[in-house]
Amino acid sequence: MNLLVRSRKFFWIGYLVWTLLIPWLLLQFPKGLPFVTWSNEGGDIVVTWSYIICAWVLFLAWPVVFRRDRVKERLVKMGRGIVAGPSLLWAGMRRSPLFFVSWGVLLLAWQVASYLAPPGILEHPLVPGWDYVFGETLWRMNGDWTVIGFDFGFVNFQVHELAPYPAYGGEGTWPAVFLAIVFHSGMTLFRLLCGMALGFSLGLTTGLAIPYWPWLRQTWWAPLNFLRMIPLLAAIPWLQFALGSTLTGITLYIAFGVWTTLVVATMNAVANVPDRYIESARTLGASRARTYLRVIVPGTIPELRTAMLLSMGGSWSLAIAAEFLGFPTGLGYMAAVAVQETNTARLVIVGFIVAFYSLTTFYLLNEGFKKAVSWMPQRTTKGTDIAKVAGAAGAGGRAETLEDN
Amino acid sequence: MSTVVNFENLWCVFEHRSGQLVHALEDVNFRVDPGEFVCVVGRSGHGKTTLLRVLAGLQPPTAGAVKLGETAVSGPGSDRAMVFQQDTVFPWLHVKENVEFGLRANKLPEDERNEITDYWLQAVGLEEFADSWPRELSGGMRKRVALASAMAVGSDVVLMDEPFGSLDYFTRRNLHEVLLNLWFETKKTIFFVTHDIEEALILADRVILLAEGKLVDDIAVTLPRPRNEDVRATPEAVGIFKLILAHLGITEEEATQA
Amino acid sequence: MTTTETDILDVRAAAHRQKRRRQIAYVLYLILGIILSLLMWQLVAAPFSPLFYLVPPPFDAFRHFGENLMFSERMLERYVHACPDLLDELEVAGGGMFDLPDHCFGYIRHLMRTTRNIMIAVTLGTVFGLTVGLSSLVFPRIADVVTPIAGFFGTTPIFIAAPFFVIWFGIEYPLMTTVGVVVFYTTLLMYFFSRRAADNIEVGIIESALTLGGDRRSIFRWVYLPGTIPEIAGGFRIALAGAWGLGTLVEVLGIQMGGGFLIRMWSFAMGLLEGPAAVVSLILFFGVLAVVVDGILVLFIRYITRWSESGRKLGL
Repeated sequence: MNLLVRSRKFFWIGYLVWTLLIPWLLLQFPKGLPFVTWSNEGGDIVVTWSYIICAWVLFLAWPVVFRRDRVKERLVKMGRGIVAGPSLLWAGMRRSPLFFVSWGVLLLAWQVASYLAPPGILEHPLVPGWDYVFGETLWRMNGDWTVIGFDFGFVNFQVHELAPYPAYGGEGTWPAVFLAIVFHSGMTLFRLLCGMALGFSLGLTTGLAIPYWPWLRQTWWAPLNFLRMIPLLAAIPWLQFALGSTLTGITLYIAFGVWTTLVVATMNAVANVPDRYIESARTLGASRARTYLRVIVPGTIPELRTAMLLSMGGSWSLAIAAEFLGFPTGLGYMAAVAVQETNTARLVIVGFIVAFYSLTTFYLLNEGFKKAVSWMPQRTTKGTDIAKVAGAAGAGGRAETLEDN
Repeated sequence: MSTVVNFENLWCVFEHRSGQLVHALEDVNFRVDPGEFVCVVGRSGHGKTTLLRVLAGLQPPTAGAVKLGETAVSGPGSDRAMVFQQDTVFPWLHVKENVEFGLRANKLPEDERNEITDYWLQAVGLEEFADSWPRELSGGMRKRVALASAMAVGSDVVLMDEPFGSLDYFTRRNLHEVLLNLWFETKKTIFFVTHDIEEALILADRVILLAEGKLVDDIAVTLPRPRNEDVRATPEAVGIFKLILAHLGITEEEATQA
Repeated sequence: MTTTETDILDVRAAAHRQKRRRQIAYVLYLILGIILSLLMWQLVAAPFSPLFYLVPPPFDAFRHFGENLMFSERMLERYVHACPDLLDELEVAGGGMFDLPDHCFGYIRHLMRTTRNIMIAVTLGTVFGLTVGLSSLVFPRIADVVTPIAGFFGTTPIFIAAPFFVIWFGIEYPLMTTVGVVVFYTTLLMYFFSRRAADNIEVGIIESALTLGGDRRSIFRWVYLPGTIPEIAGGFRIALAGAWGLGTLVEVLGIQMGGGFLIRMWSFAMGLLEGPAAVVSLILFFGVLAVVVDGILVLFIRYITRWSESGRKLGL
């Protein structure tokens, strides 16, 4: 029993089942409890803030029960991080003060520009100051909170209890602003995830499969390269018409963009695996298929890293683009509203949100890669820093690498 | 041609990533007179390269100093040109431009540059390849380019960090000859790091032995030159060979097994 | 044991034949690939395909492009936007709309305008990006200032950045809009590529330059500058390939001229039989243009980096 509980499979499959059970479990809570404010109206769950909090508690309960040590470890680490945070920040500021200075100057310059810029004939200022961006404009985003419910088939959530709808004459509230941002970015992330999942899997499989047969590679090399060179962004009006404003459409669109980049990059990576590894594997008696699977495929990973990061950046552009032109939800839609209103302040906010998400996803993907290629020798000293190369920077006996002669 | 090189209480301590301190050099003291050919010999990881890098100014010492004449080394400079173990010939410059690099950096006028470059290319036997790309040369030829570049800057001291380590036996013998001829002609001070005792016996006036960062012996090699196979088979030469082996902690059985 | 005498000429001829055979196979596969792609396209556009109404058959697209390149009926109908510099042309023609020469109403003027704008923008962006990137190698402080800000702007998707330019310059200065967006992205990209290129220079090579007496200036001139060229050139290719999409997209979004404008004009008429053919042919045009320009660029890059392996491929 203990073994089963400790197994990875049990943990993750169990977690999934548990997560799906949470809505049902919450409905079993006795009505008398003071925090049970949600209700069940003929299968439709009316969501309240306490419902969300309870759902989170249950969601987090699973790892707390079955991976107590890990959770403890994480919490301790996080606690240490929070405690050390200010001093780390201070150390960072002392190490590279220019980083903070340059940001400060940039933000300040923008504010000054907002005072100096001509007001223009439009409703909103051309260069919006930070007060305008994070004051009035952010507040007005509560107008984008328009969702009544989510129907997942087996369960239907009603969310009208969470905040009133200013778009339908309700009162404006900060929770509505928060909900609007969470909802629209959630939609974009979901679409992005669908498109990237399909595009990555298709791109990697075809890119790895095609070079296995040299004639196939030679035949499709040029057409695929051409496909990659087609300016897909300019094709949006046509793709919009062809694929429509559906989840399938946007998924296919993003997947197509990811696929064209990735399939060529993967074929390149296969071609660039050094011959000596392949020859060494063959002389050790590995079959062609085995060599391909065990030597060539892992050998492509380091080079694929850049390609995957690049296509991820590209897919962000494609997702926002598709939403911009034909969806009533998502961050792209928020940007489109901004353009209709010629409201640059709104664009700034959406820009910040997108930057936050793409930096986060970039970081996560990069971390994943670091784990996947931990066998690679890592260079510590870089060629950009003459002072460091010369070792003349610090008089102390610190060095990046030990001598290895 | 009169610079004395002085190593004075030289310490070099590294902090390993684990926080452990590693003594790469421990209180090294010696003095090298102008025009000497010094070989620094030791096992891998016992401080040879560190010694040379400190002298080159690529690595600051933790304590003590290296002095050229009266001035302490504080950074790299063309008075101590270095030939590296790895391939450091600039691939994007023609052979001639590679040799010219240091001269350009020192802002010599063009005709003077040309004269010096031609001289050194001829000295290493590469005058026909002046306009070739480095990729078109063999490994041994590229090493000769590196040698010519280091010689051409006109420093009194030349540092060589296992420069011929990656070359085959015949190329290496050939380059020993080239190097010795250049040394006879110029009487530069040469610091030559190697782990090959044979090589040290062919080249050196003096062998500095390093073990675990400490200077364990300073052996004068007084064998007559040229040091062909016959000279290296004399009892004196074999004695030095054995002495070095003993210092490096290698017993005779170990040596014969290897 | 028998010994056979081999004529050296025979061996050389055989080697030559083998090489020729490889070259012929390469060309044959290339042609096969193109034919297969066209066949697949034709299949997708066939009457029984679900995409029949969306995808024009290849030759319809080619024909549309050929027929409208120099003079387009539809452009004549929309005469206000027919010609990128209508007023100048009118002055030259010295009369009304109908005195204008035919080519004023062809796609070609718009396509050439977009091509020119993008080329100018990429060049400008490259100059800006490299200036900052390379000078940051000599003065590392610049990198401390620029890198965090550039990193932030680099994550801005085109659909956030482009509207800014459209709102700011928009209809009034259409050139500024297209060029501005492309310059923005090219500058960022080239900055990062020049930094990365310098990161990838072997540390040993810089150390060697230092011991030969190199100072910051000479190391910059003789080590960083030539050593970073291959990777910077690669970055330039990526920037240019991306620029075709960016530039046309800005035009699609709201500029009244250029290839992107043509695409938008036709995308309102997708229901017509000719709509898809027009849009697809215009997109393909930019694809072909990108491939051709990239091909020329590759040859040029191989020439300037002839010291590396690529020089051998050129036989230099």
